[in-house]
Amino acid sequence: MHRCRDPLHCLLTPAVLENVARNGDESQRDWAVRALNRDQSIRLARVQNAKVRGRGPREGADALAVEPTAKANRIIYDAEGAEKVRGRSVRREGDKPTGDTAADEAYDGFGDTFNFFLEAYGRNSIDDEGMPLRGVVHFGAQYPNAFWDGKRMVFGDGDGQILGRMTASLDVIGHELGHGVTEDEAALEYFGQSGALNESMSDVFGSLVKQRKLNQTAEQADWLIGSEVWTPDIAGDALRSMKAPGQAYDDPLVGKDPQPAHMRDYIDTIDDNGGVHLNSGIPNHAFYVVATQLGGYAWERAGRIWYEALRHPTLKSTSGFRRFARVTRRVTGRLYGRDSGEVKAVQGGWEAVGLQL
Amino acid sequence: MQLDVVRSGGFANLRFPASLDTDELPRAEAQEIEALVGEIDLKSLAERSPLRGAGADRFQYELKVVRDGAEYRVIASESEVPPELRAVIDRVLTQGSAPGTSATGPGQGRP
Repeated sequence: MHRCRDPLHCLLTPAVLENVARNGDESQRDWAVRALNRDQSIRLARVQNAKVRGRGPREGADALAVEPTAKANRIIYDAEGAEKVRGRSVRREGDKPTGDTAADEAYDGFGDTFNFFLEAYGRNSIDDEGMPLRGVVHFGAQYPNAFWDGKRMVFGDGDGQILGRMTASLDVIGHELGHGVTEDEAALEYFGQSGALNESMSDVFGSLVKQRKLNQTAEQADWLIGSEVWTPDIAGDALRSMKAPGQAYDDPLVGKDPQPAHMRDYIDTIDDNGGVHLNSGIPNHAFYVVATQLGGYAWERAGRIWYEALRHPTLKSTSGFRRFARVTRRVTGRLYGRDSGEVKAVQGGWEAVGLQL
Repeated sequence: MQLDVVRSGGFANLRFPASLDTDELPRAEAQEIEALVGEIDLKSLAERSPLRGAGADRFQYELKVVRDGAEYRVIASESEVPPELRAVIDRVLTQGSAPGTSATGPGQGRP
């Protein structure tokens, strides 16, 4: 129970204070944490963690910031071929495998993604407050898609001719859960350039979840998205390539991967919410360049920079590539120093795709 | 009556265009489809387009109808498509002629 001792803080609910503690500037964070400290609620530990998280380079310090009790709470539902999201639950946290491939892949993929966010960035689920991870499998009839509906991750079985089971690729699962994280943080509007940035964030998280699972460095990673989703009949490595946008597939039936990798090839279209899955190739490639330039595990520095930029108060829901790029540089300067190699790498990554900061 | 549908977006962003001209169909079938289209409030949906919904990676549907010299163009996220519109879209996608599937890109396979 939140007890009111200070009239100002009576007006500011713990949720508002926590938001300030997470997203405010240094003095606002201190103030908000002090205010919350007066409230002996269970929220304290989480807010302290949030404050620590917002501060500096935290490799090594992460273990201290993470709530030791944070644990995934997964619930998988079966839509049984209907386009509904309130199906029968088939597997809950701690349950044994069901034997249904899609349900078990979703369950395991949620676990890998939850652990990725928790262990790499100290984030406790989609909303950083332990939100249950709800997944729906066997959505629709031969439904060739996976999506985030604002509350849950939904997976179709694919048409079987072009696309197969959407849960087959771990990065697809990480991508969908990543949409939830982006919505909870910058809430990037899902059309045009902010939408393409939203898409790119999900590809970045999806790829990093896979890289961490496989214990791959930036050099070892394939940087492909959805490499298990095409049927064997389609000539393609994957649905997208962060290393080489535009070169993931080239097939007589589905055509050639249309993604641009540079601002000079930016695509204006009304399709696909203004090309959100097309122009995402540009920030995707910038991330790849930064990560490979820095070397080592991509989630440790490049991923941390992208994650902190997504959470930065100056990133707005309508922000485009250039704004995001500037925020990544700013965050990098704070994390690693203004004259650091990391700042040069970030600048170089954006320049490689035609964005001068 | 000319009907053109484009499904785009979704995780894989594969672009499916399909077209149907009811003047080329047997009379009974043409009347059936025209009745289905008659159920849709095309004017209102066209004015409110694009209808965007919550979440991410949903399909986007575009329906263009040319009827009695008037043209209507509706663009809606899958989650915002009313059932009577979905019925027509599904009919065109399954029954219409498709120039072919292609990835979304500038000037590719535009109907």
